[in-house]
Amino acid sequence: MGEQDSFIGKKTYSKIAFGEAYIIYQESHSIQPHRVKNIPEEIKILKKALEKAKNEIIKIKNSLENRAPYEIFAIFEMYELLIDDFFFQKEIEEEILKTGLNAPFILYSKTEERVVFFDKSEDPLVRKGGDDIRFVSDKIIFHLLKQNQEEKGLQDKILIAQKLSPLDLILYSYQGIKGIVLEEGDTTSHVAIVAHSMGLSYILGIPNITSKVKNGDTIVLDGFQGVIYKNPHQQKMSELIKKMQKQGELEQLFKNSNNEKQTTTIDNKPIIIQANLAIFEEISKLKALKPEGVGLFRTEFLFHEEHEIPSINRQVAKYIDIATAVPNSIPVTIRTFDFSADKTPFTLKHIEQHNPTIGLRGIRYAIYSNIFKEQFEALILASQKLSIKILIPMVSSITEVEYLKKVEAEILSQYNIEKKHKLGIMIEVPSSVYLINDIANLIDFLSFGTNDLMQFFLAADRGNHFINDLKNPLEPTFLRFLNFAVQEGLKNNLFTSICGEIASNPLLIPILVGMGFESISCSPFVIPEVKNIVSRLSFEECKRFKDNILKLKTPKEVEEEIYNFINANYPDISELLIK
Amino acid sequence: MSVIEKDVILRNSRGLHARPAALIVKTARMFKAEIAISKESDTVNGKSIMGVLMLAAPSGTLLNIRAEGEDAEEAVSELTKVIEMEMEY
Repeated sequence: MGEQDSFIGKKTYSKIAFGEAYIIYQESHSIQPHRVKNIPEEIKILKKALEKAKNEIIKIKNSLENRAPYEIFAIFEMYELLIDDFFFQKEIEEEILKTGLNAPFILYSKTEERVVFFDKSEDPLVRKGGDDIRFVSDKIIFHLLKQNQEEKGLQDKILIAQKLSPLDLILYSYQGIKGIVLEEGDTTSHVAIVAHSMGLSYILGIPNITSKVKNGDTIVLDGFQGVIYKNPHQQKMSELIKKMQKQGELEQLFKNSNNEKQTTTIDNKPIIIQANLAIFEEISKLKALKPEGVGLFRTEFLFHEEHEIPSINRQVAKYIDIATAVPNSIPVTIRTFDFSADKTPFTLKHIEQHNPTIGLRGIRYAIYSNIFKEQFEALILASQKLSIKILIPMVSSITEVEYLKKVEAEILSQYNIEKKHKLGIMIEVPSSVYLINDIANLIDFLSFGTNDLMQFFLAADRGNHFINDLKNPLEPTFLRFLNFAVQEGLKNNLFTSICGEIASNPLLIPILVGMGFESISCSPFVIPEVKNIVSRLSFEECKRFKDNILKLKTPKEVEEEIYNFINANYPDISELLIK
Repeated sequence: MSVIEKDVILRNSRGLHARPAALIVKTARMFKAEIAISKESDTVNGKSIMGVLMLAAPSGTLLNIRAEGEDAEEAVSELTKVIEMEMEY
């Protein structure tokens, strides 16, 4: 057993996982040229690496068949064609013979030479071709440099990398990985959203972790604490295993108690438990999780295969696909694009913005560009046939709502159709809370996005580590504001749902129920747990509990009060939640 | 040895990206004939994915298929179908 150590990253509240480390090096960049002594031997090594890389690609491809969506399978089909190409099979060999240089360097430099053409293209789909060639080349280089290491595949591994694209993560997760640890990224980054959606354990933001861990090290990843343990000693290991077993038992308990019946508190107040989704592939998981709706379907990733925003017709087809793929025809709330300049998979022509988080995004970008109108039109058309609710992000002023209603009316009259959809807005900009009264007759529902609402209310940047302590959802001022906002919605008979990160944190559920939220929309994997907890709560008791909480002055007092409440009411889960 | 040549318009709305390119190459490889695909003055080997990708042809491009070999006629007719196909992805 190797050297033991532990590293701290950001808490992600994902469950404990353990497995062997598998490090993804971005190593090709450091390859230097040198003359080889035995050229026929170098070519033999190259051929062997080509064969191994090809077998690996075929193995992955076969394992994906019938398991992963066709788009993902097709990527590996493409890799297989690429590795068979004359370029890899012949040109590299010829270049080694000509120059007498080492195979990894020739492969790397010829690939870079070749992809220049693709990188220069203005068409994102052509540029993607360059990425595909690089991917295959890197795979071959990996086998050239690690000839003696048998490729065992990624099943049950903990993946460790500097950074990953959301698409790469989707590809890896279909190969059976247990968890991921990244040097970059924070809990609200897109790769985190995808990791969460795929039900992976993950920790982000551990600097230089790829050089501190070796392939084959035993890694235990504790998302609740935001810690990874490398080769933990026996006592620590048994402690972690116990914790993992406890989590497993609870998961089983929650799973067993899960059913399709409507979730109500013990005093019969219905609370609709919905799922937050970001990618189409997640829909297949809903059947087992039994949500009562999709409370938030982010669309920024929906077209991750496309690299450009599809036409209205293709969008309509996609939205209809979604609403027909969900189990039991549950209603689906689809949120229009909310691109913030730093994270978009599309190559939209972004405008230089000094502070994009409070700049041109959500409905503001929508008014500025044509993209929104097309998406709105596609959603309205799709909702003619299926139960689709349309959710608009970043609303901050009444002019935006008036604009929405104008566009909505134009679209309906253009097609001569009636409004069948429900229209709602995100409550995530503090000013929108004071709009609710004025726009109640224009919209149908409210969805609270607490990540942004908190960041704007407390003026605390989500991505800034220096003020981590400030970004606390237990901050009494924030809870009072949130409570006020919910009452505004309820007073006006608007359906109120919460879909922010705090809705996926089981500790906060009694407060949210006490505030009167009619729906909680959370990460799909916590649905059974949230349902279980809600069905054991008394609404009346939660209201009193919430009123007491709102009188407290510090987050610490709030935290203690929550623990007291959970200890008294849910002793079986307190052991896990309270550490 | 027969040589068949034909001009075909690429129909896929998003151009010759990975998926259609892969399909063209897979189709071309089913035949013994040598297959060349050209866009204006650029000509590539129809059995090389790297080559076909480098055509970077947008939707509506006029492509020329040239096949040489005993099954050239069949190859051109199958490739025409693929190039004229509209694909979902």
